[in-house]
Amino acid sequence: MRHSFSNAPQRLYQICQRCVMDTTDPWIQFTHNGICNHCIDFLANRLVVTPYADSAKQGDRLERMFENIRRSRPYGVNHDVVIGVSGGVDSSKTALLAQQAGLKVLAVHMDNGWDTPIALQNVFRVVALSGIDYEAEVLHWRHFKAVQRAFISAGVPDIELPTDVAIMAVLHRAARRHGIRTILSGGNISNEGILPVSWMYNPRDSRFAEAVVQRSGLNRGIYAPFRLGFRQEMRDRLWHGIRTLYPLNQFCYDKEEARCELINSIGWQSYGGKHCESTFTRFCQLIYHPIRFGIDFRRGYLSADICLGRITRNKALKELEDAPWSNLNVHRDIAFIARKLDYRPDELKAIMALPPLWYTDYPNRRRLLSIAYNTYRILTGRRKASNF
Amino acid sequence: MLRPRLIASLLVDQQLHLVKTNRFHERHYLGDPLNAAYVFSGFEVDELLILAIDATAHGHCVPLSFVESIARFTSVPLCVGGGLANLNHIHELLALGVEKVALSSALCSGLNFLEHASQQFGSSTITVVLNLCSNAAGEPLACFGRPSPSNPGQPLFTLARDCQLAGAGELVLYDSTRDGSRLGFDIPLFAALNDQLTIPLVALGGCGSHAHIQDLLRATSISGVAAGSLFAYAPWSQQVLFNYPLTSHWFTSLLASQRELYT
Repeated sequence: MRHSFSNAPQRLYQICQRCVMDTTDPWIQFTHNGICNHCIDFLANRLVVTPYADSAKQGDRLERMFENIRRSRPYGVNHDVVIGVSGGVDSSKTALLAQQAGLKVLAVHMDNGWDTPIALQNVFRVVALSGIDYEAEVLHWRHFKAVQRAFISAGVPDIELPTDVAIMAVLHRAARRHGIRTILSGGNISNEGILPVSWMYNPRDSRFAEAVVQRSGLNRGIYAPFRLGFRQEMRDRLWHGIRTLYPLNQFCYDKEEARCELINSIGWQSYGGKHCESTFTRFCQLIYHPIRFGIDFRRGYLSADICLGRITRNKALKELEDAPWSNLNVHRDIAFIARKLDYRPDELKAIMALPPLWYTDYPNRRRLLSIAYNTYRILTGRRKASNF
Repeated sequence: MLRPRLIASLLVDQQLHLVKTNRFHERHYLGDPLNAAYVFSGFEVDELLILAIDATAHGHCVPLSFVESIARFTSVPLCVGGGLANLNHIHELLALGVEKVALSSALCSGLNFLEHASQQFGSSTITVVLNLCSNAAGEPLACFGRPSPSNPGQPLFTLARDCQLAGAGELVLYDSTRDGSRLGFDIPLFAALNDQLTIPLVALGGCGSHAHIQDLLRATSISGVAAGSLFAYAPWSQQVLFNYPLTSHWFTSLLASQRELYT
C-alpha cells in the first residue's frame, strides 16, 4: 500500500452559490460570482441533449429512436437491443420502455458478487416480461475481489470502476456474440449529469486501471476479463457497428415517477437510496466515499435536481445535513463488506482513515483519450455531453 | 401435519466456488457462495442446505471460517455438510450456529459414527445424505459419498432403514441420476421410501418446475423438497438468476388451497 501524499490542490472550503457542489471535488472552479463549473457545464452542454432544455421539443424523440433501432436490426439477428439489468430503477425503466415499444430485448445481468435479494427479485420481474430474453454473466469472484481490493488499497475514490467497466465489457461481449447492434443504457443526464471526474474517473482508461492493479502486485491479466479499453470500444463501434444509446435522455425522465410506475406495473420493489441495488455500491457511496474522501454523491444528484428545478437549494442543503449513512446499520455493512473482501473490520476501518489519493496520482491517459474522443466527436458530429 | 419445507441447496467446490453440478459431473460456476447465502437468506428460504462436495476427496472438513461467515450473515436455518469425519467436526460446526450437520461419506465404513453423533448431539441435528446411484435394475441403489465404480451402492430401502435405526434425524435422498437435469423427481421412489420411514425425508435432485413439486407432494407427504437448479437459474434456462420468492409464494398458496380441500 502507498502512503504518499496526493498531488491534488489543497483548497479552502467553498460551495457553489447556485448548486451544492463544493471543494470536495479538489479541481472545482468558481466564477467571480461563486458559481461552479459543474452546474454551468450541466446547463450549457449536458441538458441540450435532453428535452429538459426545451420540453416543447420532446415530441416523439423516444419513438423515433426505437423506430430507428427496429429498422436497423440485421437479418438473422434475434434481438434489437442489449440492456444491462441490475435491478435498479434506471435499468428496469429502460428495459420496460424498450419492451413496451415492442423491441426484442436481450437483458443481460452481470453478477459481480454483490447483488442484493431485492435487486435480483427486480431483475426476475423485468425478465419475466414478454419479449425480454435473459442472459447472465457471472464474474470470477476471486479475481474480481482481488481487483476491488487493489482499488481500495490504491486509495482512489474509483473503487466502483471495476464494476462499471465490467458492465460495459459484459454488454459489449453479449452484443458481439449475438450480432446485436444496439446497447441501451440506463445512464441519464437528469440524475447523473453532475459527477466530477475526480469522483469517478473514466473506467475505459485501461492504463490507469492496470496501473492500480499492478501496484497491488497483481498480474494485469487478472483485469483482462473486466476490461473494456478505448481500442476495443472503437473496434466494436466501427467494425461490429455496436452503438450505445441513452433512451432516458430522450424524454423528461423523472426517477421518482419511474420508481412509482415500476412498483405499480410490475410489482417491482424499492431498495431505498440511489444505486443501493448492490451492497458494494451502497457501501461505496454512503460510507466509504463520505468517510475517506468527504465525497457525498448526493451532492451531485441534488445539484442536478436544483438545476432542473426539482428541489430548492435550501432544501438540498437541509437534506445534506443528515449523514449519508444515517439510514444504514454501518457496523453491519462494514462487517459484511470486510468479510467478503477478506479484510478484518478494523483493518477496513483503518484503511478508510488513510489520506486520499486521486486518479491524477497514478499513470493515466486522460489527455490522450480526451483528444481521441474529441476527434471521434468531430468526425461523427456528436456533441460532448459527458465528462470524457 | 407440518408444512413441507422448501429448501435451497448450494454446492461448494474445493476453491469455495459456488457450483451447480449436472449428474454429479459437469460443473457450472455460479459465483460467490457467501453472497448467494446472503441473497437466499434475504429471500427467507425455509432452509439452506450447503454441501462442500470436494471436501471428502481432499480429506478435510468444510472450512470453518467459511461456515462462520455464512452463519454470521444469514438468518435462516442452515444444514451444512462436507468432509465431516469425527465428532469434533460436528461440535465445531454446531458451535458456529449451524442448525444441522449433514453426514455422508464418513458413513461408508459403517454407521457407528452416526450412532455416536446422534447420541452426543441429538438426532435432530444430524442429517444423513444418501446419494441415489441407480434405479435401473428394479432395485434402487444408494451410497454414501460420491457414487463411483468402487462405491457401487447398496439397496436403498435397507440402507435408509439402517440410518433411521442408527439415529439419523433426517434423510436427504439426492438423486444423482437426475441432478441438474430438471426432469422432475422420481416420484414413486420417494413415495415408497417415505412410507417406509418415520424420520423426515427430503427429496433433492431433478426439480425443475413448480409442477414437479406439486406432483411429488400430491403423491406423498414428504417433509422437504430441495432444489438447486430451480432456485439458481432463470426459468427454463441455464442463465444464473437466484430466485425463490416466486416459488415460495406459489407454494404457500398451493398449501392453502390443499388445506381447504382436506378440511
